[in-house]
Amino acid sequence: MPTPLEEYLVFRRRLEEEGDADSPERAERDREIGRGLRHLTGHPILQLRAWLAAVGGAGSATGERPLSAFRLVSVILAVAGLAIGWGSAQLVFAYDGSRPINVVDVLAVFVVAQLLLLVLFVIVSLPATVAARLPGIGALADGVRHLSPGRLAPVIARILPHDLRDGLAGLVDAGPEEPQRLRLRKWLFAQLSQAFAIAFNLGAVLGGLYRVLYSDLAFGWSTTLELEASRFHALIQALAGPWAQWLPAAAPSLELVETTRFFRFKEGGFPGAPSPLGTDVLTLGGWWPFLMAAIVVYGLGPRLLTWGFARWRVRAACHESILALPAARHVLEHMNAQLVETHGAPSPELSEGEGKVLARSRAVDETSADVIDWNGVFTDSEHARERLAQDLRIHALRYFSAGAGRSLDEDAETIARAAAGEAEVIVLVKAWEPPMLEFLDFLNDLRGALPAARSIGVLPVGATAADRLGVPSAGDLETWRSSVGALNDDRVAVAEVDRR
Amino acid sequence: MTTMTPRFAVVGHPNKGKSSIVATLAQDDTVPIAPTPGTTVRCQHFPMRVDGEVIFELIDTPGFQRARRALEWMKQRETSAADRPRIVREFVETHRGGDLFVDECELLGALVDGAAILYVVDGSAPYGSEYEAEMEILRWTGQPSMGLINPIAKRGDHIAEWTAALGQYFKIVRVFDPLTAEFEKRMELLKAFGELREDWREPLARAVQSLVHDRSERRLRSARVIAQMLVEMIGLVLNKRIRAGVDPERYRAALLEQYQSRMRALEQSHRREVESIYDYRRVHRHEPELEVLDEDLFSTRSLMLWGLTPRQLIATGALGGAAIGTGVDVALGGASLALGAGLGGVIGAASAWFTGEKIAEVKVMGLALGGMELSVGPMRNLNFPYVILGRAVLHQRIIETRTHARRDELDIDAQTEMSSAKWLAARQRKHLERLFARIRKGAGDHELIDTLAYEVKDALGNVPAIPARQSPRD
Repeated sequence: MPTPLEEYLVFRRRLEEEGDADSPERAERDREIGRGLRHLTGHPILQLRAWLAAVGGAGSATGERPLSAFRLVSVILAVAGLAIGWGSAQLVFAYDGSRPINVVDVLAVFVVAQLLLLVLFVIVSLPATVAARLPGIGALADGVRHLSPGRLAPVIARILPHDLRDGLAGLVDAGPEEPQRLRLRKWLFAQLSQAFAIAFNLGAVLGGLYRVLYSDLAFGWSTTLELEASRFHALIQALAGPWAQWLPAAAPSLELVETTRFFRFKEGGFPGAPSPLGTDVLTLGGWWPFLMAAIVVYGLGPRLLTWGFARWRVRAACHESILALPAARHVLEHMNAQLVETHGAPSPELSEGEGKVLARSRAVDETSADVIDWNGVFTDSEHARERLAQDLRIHALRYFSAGAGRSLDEDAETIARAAAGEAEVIVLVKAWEPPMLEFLDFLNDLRGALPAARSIGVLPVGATAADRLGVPSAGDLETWRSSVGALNDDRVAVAEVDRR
Repeated sequence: MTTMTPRFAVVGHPNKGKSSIVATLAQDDTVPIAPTPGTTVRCQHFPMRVDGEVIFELIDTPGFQRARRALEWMKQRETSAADRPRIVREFVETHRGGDLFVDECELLGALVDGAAILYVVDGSAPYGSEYEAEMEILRWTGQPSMGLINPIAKRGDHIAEWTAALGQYFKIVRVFDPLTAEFEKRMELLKAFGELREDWREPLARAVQSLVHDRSERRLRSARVIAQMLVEMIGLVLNKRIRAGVDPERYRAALLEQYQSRMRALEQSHRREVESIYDYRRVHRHEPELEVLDEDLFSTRSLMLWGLTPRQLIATGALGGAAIGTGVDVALGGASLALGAGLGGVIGAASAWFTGEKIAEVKVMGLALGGMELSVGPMRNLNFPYVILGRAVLHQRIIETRTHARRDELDIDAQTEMSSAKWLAARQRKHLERLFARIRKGAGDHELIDTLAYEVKDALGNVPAIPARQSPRD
């Protein structure tokens, strides 16, 4: 079972391979996976885990630079914590026989100070929105966060090889636009800090035990306050409450408290003077079980809890960071939403204008010609003659119809009759209709039937009104020139009306 | 695909907008559309799939080229009306692979394979008897059919004329402009397809239901993209660290330029994402650039030790002082009545305040410990989120309304009057303002983005449809 951090790294790598851009193939694949996981709807992380298992290629995070770097930094911090804890114990439990170890000092360093630090951890752990609402807490949390041992991780990374340093930077570096990663960083640092604190407490316990085992320690307690031994005993009893029932040896008795009190000045002697105590000197060592238990319960115990809490928050932050990955969003969208596809296979690109031959264009004015009406530009031949004469100054010597409404045999007959004349042939066509192969067949046959000297003009006409011939658009003319040009015959031109 | 799957072949004269109709209904802007006839030379299939299952299929076909000749061939073989579908099939089988009836075989092939007919004509051009041969051939196929009048070029209105003519050949006749048809109109047309055959009604109804649901999903996805963009743009902060003693004014213009360019890049990248949600792959935009000119954007603050701000430094100083003071209190056995901690805190804070700047100037190996930081952002202007929201919503609505048959530039500039976000209801403004305030404070987690996305989706519902404008090229 991978840790949340390992899982996050695996997801990050696998989803980065997917890329930010969406694709229909991926949508199809993810939806297929999602359809089999309907029971996981509403549990995005579980869905993503199942997705990862289905798509494969995830591998393991073991050996990944960010993970290796993080683990190495954790070990370095833990070793440092252990050493500092051990060192602190050696200082606090230092005993040269001149005066007993003051129990109050031990409690101050390993219980009170640690509880204070625990309060600071709670402040740092507050959500930013809550901290901002409490006067002064926001700024304090910001400041304290900089003092967290976990923040030393990037500093420690400087001594690591280049690739590990970059690996850690890839894990903890985050910009303001990445709140989820900022949160992950906060909790990773918190987890490191708690690991350091656990190691510190372990070091303190081990250091203390070492001193107990290999030295003959004498403990006492002393305070300037006018504190009765009974009240001090009550305080000690309260501290020993959690373990007094099952570990009575670690709960100092009133007698021990009374007999181990020492003063700056007593019976004319100073602390450096030979022991004034009349009691059994063995009792002077009776404090150590209590002190060890206090460090374990008030130092180590809470830190184990806060470490667990930090790990829990790291897990949540890892999940949030996974869900914040753009590709994860796409994957979940595809898995959960019905996949509707309407597109076709990729279409071939158009090669507009490539290899296009335009037919010759020439102006028509004051012409006498045989006219063939293709596809019924005019419904009435008399009206056609009138409009051609008036609008285009074309005198129709003979007027034929071809195309729509006639058979192919009738078209062949029209061609034969047209071929019998001598004048130029003008073929009227509807400019707005595209030239089709049927027309080009006709034109080809006509060209074949006419002697070489007789030219053919294809005249596209715009939509006609009752009293005026329509003018074709430039686009329509271009279309006709392009189609007629396909015949590749100089004697066939597209006739243009002189618009004057 | 089962034999029951409805299939619709879009057929007709060349250059009458068949591909435009397919592009709009299939929501595919890669369908080749050009003013020159004969652009479509092979049948293109556009299956509508829901979770991989084909619900119906559109087929874009080439236009008739030699309809009269083909009809004559068929007529020569006709023995009875019942024979006609068989003759059409025979025609296809005989001529497939030849040079004469390439386009006819291609389009009739789809029909003899069982596709229904969607016959497209241009309602802006007059009716002509040259269409009759192809309509007759289509009638011979015996397939369910519908006439679609596409008013292509707005050069005239011949819809009544066409309606009368098509009514003689086709069971249903509809007017449909693929360039301006709104979503509801497209769905109505699909429902009408279902009327062509009794057993197609259910799959087409299901298709419409899926498309309506899909549209809602796409809108939510767009809203999420817009929400993400709002979070990134409002919260954007750029910092420039400056050595102590250097005038920050020198860096203001460059930093502002960088900020503007980052803002624009964010907006552009999110727009592309919205376009991709709606399957636009080739859209070009014309729009005014986002201008960010706000003097309040800048802040200059002193950087102290190790990147701590003055506030953080004072808090840390106070804390350190209090810790030392606590040590003194402990050493005195509490005789100081915790005055050590209090005084230590005050002294620590004060010394951090008075000495911070001096320490900042200290150089270690040539590098100053502190210095100044010039920051631009986050955008505090209360109107800014509404400006970018307005722009994003306008873009989304244009994209959502636009049909995939259009090949003109997306002209957002001409529609700027819509971008003022006046369409937001008071309740929506209130909710949005609360979310914007959180973003300005640095929040931006995915719960916030989701909440904002639902607000944006809600707001999108208020915006009137952006009327499609006919491009000059169409």
